[in-house]
Amino acid sequence: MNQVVNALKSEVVGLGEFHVSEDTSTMLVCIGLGSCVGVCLYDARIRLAGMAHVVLPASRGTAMTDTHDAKYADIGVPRLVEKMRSLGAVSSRITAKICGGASMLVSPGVSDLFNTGERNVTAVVQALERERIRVVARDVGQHHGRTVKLFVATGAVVVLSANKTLLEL
Amino acid sequence: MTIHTYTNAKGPWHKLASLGAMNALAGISRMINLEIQVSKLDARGVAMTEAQGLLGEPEAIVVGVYLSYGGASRGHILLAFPEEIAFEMIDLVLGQAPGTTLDLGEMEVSVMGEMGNIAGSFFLNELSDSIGAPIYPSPPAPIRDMASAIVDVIVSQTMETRDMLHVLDLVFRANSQELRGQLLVIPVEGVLTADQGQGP
Repeated sequence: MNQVVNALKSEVVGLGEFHVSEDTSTMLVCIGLGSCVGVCLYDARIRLAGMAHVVLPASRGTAMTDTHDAKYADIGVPRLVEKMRSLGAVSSRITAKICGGASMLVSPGVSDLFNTGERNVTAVVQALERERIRVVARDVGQHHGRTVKLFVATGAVVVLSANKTLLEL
Repeated sequence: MTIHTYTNAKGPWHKLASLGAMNALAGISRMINLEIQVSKLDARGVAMTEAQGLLGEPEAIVVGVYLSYGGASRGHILLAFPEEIAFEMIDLVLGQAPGTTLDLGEMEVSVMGEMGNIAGSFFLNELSDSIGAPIYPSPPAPIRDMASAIVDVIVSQTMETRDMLHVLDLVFRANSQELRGQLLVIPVEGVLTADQGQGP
């Protein structure tokens, strides 16, 4: 598995960005997700993968720049889906796997201020529901960071947690 | 303390924050009983897409202490160390032989929290005295995780309405040992962002 992974090109999806790829020698990667959510979409028939690195749940009317198309779940998810559709994907075939949305701070006095992770997960799920896309797997919440990799060739999603556990969704 | 590098030393924000940072280091120096040198002190704007690299390699495990502050100004403070350095700092504070600390138990978390508390309080006291208005820190929140995931906490709190972070980035090392850490101060609003027109 490691040899295969090492042979692949990594396309890093930065904070607030989304990437779409049909290059089967590539994996899309969100590194070190904390409260952010990595949204992994895949149309298996045409082997088209899309990944968004969502930072916040709702835009509340804030204008979005071209470079940060996925900063907000409510705008970023539809834009990612739209991009995939423009490349031939069909909503009914697209499956979603999501991860991240951790609550990173659990100390008394500050934990209540930070439920961004949970709100991000909720907003992403709602946005996907509006697009009629099924969430088939998720690794969300808890209190640790994650790196997520989406393999364009197969649609497999692998999550590496800060505690070194490896999970395939 | 010796300042080896001092870049972008313009504007009242940087001057105030630099004074605060020096005071924070004095507090840490007293706590670990070692002289501390500043190897980098830099105030700059960081684009959201670049924020993940603020603490170095995004997947590296970092031990940090997070505090928010409010009052006359509002923002975030993060004191962070590579995991192995944090363990060395804890050994120093507890008077243990180097290499004793191998994980973060209750006592170790408490030490890190106290270190963050001291750094944050010393920083904010200096600022508060300088401007003659109160600034209050939150309780410290120790955190051990991927560097990028820790930065996420601040990014999600500050970037709701903007795409840039204003960061004071302080890298320091203890004189006789290879101990290095970072103090990130990220103002959100109030007196510490009043000179944003000049760049903080």
